[in-house]
Amino acid sequence: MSANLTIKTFRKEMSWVRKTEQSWVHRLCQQVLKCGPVPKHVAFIMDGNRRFAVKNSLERAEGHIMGFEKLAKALEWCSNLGIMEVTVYAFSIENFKRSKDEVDGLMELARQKFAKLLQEKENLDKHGVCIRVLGNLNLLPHDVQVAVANAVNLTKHNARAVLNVCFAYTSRDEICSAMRDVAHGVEQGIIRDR
Amino acid sequence: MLFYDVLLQSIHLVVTWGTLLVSWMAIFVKPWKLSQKTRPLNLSSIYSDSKLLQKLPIHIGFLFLEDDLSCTDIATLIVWCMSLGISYISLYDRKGILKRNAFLETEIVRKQKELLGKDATRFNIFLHRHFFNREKLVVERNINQIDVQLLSEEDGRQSLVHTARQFSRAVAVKQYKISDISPSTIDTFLLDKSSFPDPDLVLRFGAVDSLLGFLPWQVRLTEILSLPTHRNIDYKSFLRLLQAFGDIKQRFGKKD
Repeated sequence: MSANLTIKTFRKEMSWVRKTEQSWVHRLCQQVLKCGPVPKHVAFIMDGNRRFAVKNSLERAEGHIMGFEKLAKALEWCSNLGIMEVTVYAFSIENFKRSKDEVDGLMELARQKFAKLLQEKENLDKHGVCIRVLGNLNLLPHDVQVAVANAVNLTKHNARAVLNVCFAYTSRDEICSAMRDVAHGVEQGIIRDR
Repeated sequence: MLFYDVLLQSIHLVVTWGTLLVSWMAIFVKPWKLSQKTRPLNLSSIYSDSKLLQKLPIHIGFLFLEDDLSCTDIATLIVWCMSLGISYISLYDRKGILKRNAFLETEIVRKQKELLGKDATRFNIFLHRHFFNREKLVVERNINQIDVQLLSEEDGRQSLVHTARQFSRAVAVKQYKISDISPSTIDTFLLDKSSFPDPDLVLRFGAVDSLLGFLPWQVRLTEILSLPTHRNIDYKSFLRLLQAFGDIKQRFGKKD
């Protein structure tokens, strides 16, 4: 199958929540796994989109789109296995160091995906999916921040499954934000310093 | 459907035991194969091995995530590291058993004599048992000075809590603005207390796939490798991990 045909096929199904046909082997493995303990929370580090693109002679942006596709599939697998919380490390603050084209492409992908979320409200509510976005959102373009805020607001009352999207994060930045919040709390007298 | 459920449970059982067996083999069979004897170790042979490594860690961390700790093997690891030229070593066990252990120092001295012979007294080893309030490290370092810090869970998150408290107090008395709290000021504060650079390599011993609270702030770019156990650790396995460390390429999030 040519790369172009594959992309076109996928473009139809760019949604976040999906139910696809599974082979009997897949279903059997799933049922065997569910006989034992299954992690409650799994995190995915999304690495290798660019290498995938190079290997398949695709544009980098296409590599990222395919990465999202795989993520959506992984979310379906997790949901079927009873893994109710998934965290995805989508974009690190370190990734801002990449070329302007690539960063813009990723922001555009985010813009589209979060906008699509708003269209899938019924599906998300049906599956009880709550979406949280974690990171230093001030570093993102304003319209992406708005799209993110809308998506989070839309799904905040859902409680069956949680998807944490880490966007514009580094562990140190997060720890630093937490320390700032604590300092602010102490300054305002909300937190007592014993 | 009861028969089907029983079938699924049986398959699950078989897979579980199969995986367990394979991991047991890694712990028992491999060391047995490797104990076919090797050339004698001494300072110059270990030092020449270090020359063949692509990259040598400046600060190496050993995470002992097992129930029984063997001071002898830990001391052996320290002596190998010293001989290779690694001058910052961290030893971590979650509950702080190593910190309270009286035998570690004597074991280190004993192993130095055993492995290094006449070169045994060449190195100056400093053991640091506290994260904060430790003696400042000697500023002018020479290659024979070895600093070893003994760490436990309380030196990880708790030290970050302590840092947050100090910064909050500084903000409360208007010495600092909230915007002065940044990853670099926090880093400077922690570095000032510990004087150890961030670990570039961490070796994890035990079956747990986690750092279990080891210095969460400092392991930002640390390479993490593991071995099933530290007991009867052999030099070849250790060296192989250092070689693997040398081959790893880090891209730091940007373009290759």
